Amino acid sequence: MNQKIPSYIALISLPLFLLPVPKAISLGLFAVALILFAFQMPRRYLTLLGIFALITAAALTFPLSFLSPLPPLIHFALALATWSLLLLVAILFWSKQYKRSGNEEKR
Amino acid sequence: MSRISKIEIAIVVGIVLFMILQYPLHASFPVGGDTTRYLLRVLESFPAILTNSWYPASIFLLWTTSWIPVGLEMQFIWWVTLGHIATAAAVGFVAYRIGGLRAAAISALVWALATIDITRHTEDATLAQLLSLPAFIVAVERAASTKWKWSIVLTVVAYFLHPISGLLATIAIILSFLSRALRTLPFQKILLSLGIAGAGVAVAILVFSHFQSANVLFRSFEENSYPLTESIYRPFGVFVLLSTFGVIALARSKQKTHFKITLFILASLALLTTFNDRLGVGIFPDRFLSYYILTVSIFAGTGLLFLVSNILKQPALQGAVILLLIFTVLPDQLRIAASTFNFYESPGKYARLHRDERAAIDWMKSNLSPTSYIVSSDVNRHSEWIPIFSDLKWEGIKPSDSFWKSSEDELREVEYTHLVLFRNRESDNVFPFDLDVAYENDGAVILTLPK
Repeated sequence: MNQKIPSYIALISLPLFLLPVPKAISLGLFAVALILFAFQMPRRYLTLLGIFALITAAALTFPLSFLSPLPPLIHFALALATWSLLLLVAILFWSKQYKRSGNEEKR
Repeated sequence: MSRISKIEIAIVVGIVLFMILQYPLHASFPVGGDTTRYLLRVLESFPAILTNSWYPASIFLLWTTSWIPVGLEMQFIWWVTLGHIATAAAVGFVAYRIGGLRAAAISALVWALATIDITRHTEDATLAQLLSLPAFIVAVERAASTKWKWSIVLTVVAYFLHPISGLLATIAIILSFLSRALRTLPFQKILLSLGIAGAGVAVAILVFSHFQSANVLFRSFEENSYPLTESIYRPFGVFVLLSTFGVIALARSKQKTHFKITLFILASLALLTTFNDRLGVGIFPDRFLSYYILTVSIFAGTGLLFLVSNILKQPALQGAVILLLIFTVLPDQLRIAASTFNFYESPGKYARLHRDERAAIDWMKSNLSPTSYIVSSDVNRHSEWIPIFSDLKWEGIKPSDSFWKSSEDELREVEYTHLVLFRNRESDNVFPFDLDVAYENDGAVILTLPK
């Protein structure tokens, strides 16, 4: 499948987003386009994007409430540091994984 | 550059300037209250302006034009405008590195469309931050291109312009550096083992806390002044959605892996810091919003070009479709801009210094002795303009200050020579006895204190 179909879907959803129709329709089309693009991505970069998306989404979902007795600024800094560390470990893991399996990008 | 590209660039520059110049051409006065803090610093002499400030370089920039015979408030407005133009150029530069000249043009356009809508860029307290954005974003781009020296220099500049930009650039650069170093260091296995062991411990704590009913992860969120969902459900939301395709475009681009990872780090950090209340604590979410808009602008521009170029091969058609979308969003953005300006410029609102108040301050400058000492309530931030426009000594005092309970005899002992009351917010009858009226109009009254 080429990239035309998801691109068309995404571009059709743009004017829908601005028109007075339920946003769910436009957002749904956007999601479909994103999924179709994901199917065509090289696995190497799909995994990398997945790592970033998952960790960012997890960070925005779990406020690490065990840090809440600490002063707000420390809480903020520690939460940011925790998620950043997790991100770095995931990137390291990703890097090793794709070094082992060869350069998939070229394939 | 082809003829079509030249036409496109001309249209883009025109729209960028059209959007950004709305502020100086529509606003008669800076919007918020903190302008006076900048301008009072500018009135100081060099090098005193560089001390005791969170953003000495921004104050210095304002000071460099203070000799121009134009009102300081108008100079301030034009500095905001210059900040927007410089940021549009910096956004364009980063987008250029991802998707070329066209991506640069679209990203700069997206930034220009956001100047008055969901950001508070025109609000004066963000001037220093606005001026720091070009240094911030180029510092991150330089780190992505492994030009570390330039990256560090620009981060230092960003710190002096606004510390939050410097701090965020530092975090992004450290993460960028570590992500590169970790992938090339010889002891990767040890690090990975430590990481996996750490993750194991974290999971064990979670399982334990679950059985102990200790809620270590979840907690209800406090209401953010700018919720995550609101950034999507606005006309600008189109660009937020488009930015996801920008991320895909970057992942598929020919840029080096390190460049991609660094810009993903930027996107991730922009989200985490802007919606930081979701990290469990809310620290100035409004202040971080600029970095979110900046990132969305870069990725939305590259995303839109990516989508359109997948469908259309002819540059002229691509340009036409992109401009069509921009012109679809433009009226909504102009409507929001118009309502913002109407609110601030309306005499019926009390959002900025009123004409009557300005007239009273101007009268003071022309008619009072240079040794006069003016007092007013500090509940009304408009009075902060008194020392700037009158060049007279001024003090704002709290409503709880004992001054307001002074008898006529006690007033003779105070240092102040005149009391200013702004009638939109304050009553004329603050004392049970009459004082001489030196000047009055509908919006202000200046009383002479007995000596």
